[in-house]
Amino acid sequence: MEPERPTRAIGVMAALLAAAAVVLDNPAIYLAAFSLVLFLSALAVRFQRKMRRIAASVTIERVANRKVIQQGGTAVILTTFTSSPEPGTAVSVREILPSGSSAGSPGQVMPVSPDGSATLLYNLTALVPGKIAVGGIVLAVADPFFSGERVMASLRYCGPELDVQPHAAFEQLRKRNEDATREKNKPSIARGYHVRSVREYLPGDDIRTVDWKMTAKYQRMFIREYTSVENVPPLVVLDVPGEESEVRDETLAALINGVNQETAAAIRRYGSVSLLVISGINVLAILLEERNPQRCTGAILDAAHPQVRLHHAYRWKNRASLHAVVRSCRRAVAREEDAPRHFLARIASICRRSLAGPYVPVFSIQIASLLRSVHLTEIYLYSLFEGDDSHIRELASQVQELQIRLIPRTVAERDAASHRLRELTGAEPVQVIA
Amino acid sequence: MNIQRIKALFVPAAVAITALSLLTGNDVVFRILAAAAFVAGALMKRGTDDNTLITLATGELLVITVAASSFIAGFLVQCAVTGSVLFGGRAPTGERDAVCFVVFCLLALLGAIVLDRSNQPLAPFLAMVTIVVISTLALTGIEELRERRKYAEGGT
Repeated sequence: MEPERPTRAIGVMAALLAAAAVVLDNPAIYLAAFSLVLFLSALAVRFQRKMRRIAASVTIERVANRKVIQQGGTAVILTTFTSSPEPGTAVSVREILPSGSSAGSPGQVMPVSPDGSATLLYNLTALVPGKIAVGGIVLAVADPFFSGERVMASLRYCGPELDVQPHAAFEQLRKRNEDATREKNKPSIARGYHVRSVREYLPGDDIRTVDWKMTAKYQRMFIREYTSVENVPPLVVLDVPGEESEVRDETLAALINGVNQETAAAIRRYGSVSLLVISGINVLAILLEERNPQRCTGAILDAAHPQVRLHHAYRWKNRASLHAVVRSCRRAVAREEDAPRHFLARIASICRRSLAGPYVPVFSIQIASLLRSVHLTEIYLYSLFEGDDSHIRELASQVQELQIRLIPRTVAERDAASHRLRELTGAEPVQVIA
Repeated sequence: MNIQRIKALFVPAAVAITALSLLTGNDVVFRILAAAAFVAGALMKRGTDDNTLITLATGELLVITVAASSFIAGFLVQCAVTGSVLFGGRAPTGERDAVCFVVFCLLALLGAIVLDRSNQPLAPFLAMVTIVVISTLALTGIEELRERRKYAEGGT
């Protein structure tokens, strides 16, 4: 119970009058001072009684829209407060939030209307797993002379209890490589293995998904909602020829048409497709898990002409090739004569010097980060396989390392190029689409 | 000069009137002036803490002025002043407030009689103030503890 400003002023007034009475020894001033002290006492007792009556008449009804929530999830709490009103008294109620939770602004404070009722609707966000419950209310009562708070945390003012399940945000969804599917946190007909959430039973739910442990615990039927599965969309790679290569318009049109049909078919089949448009080692466009066929078509058509290649791969220091050169030179030096031996030794020393320093081309980093960012099981590579094929070798080697299926496609018979590619990377035979 | 400053002038005016009344031997004119200051302060628009305090201050000075000549009249004025502050110038809003006011009046009457009858009012004044303060602290303290225990965690 805290005195308000008028009460403090009355106390000062009483003290001044008492001092004046002692100095002047006047019974009339004694009467005034005593009356003020008595008045303060009466006010204090009256406020105490008033507060007791309000607290005794308090009823709380609190409902949550969910009984079980995930860690970090939000439950909507509706609290209805009723009490018997006292004239000249202001009442407000504050919710006692459970530890490990937070409520949305402007907070969980509600002023009580003159008829003694109040309703508060707020979001309660659970931050830690376990069982949490609203811990009651703090009733604040104020009249012109005193104010006070009463913590009401007994059982009838607490609850409802919420079961906060640990959040599986850091759990990696399981890959199912055998049928090229992945799990997702969205409802679907196809069901995965992991539990996405738990909710109360609704008529029509599959009885096989009942969570019997939680049902026994809460004496209510609870249903497990499983993750669903979706197919893994492919990556379509379009290798646009360089400006220096002489490509007929019909050939390029057939290549572009093939890529366009492939992306459209993938979106129909899988729901989305990833698209990578390159010209040599120059990356022109990247679309990840795109669901809009028109956007894919736009990206393809933007690149549907021979490109000016700003960067070329013929000066790449391919470490595997350098190692191979060093090995072959060493073998040749062992059996060749003096003049070539000197030449081969010189080649080998240059290659070793190049191998001494780290060198990772930007294109390799781009391809590696692209392959890491999306889950892939197969890649369709559309190229004419003409000229320098270093970028294709780099792509094929990284794809092979990740055990992703690479399906090269072209528009004309390019046997030499396809055989060379297959020898180097172990890719599938080149398919001719036109 | 705004209305708050005008209202604040009632208190020094009432103090001056009361002082003159006590010094000049309870002239009836000063009692009338003190009553006028109280009524003017009380009739001002209510609703704020300042109005309550001005009413109470001018009222207590009127009590002193009146009680200097007649203790019983002073007691009656005291009841009027307290009632006007307690109920905000309106009639009692409930039975409980009326009972509280009646108990206050009876205790104030008892105190007035004791102070009127005693030769040296200091000792009975101190005794009565001590009793009132200790009783109030005990009553409200015990009540507070009981209520806290009742509504604390684990209570029913």
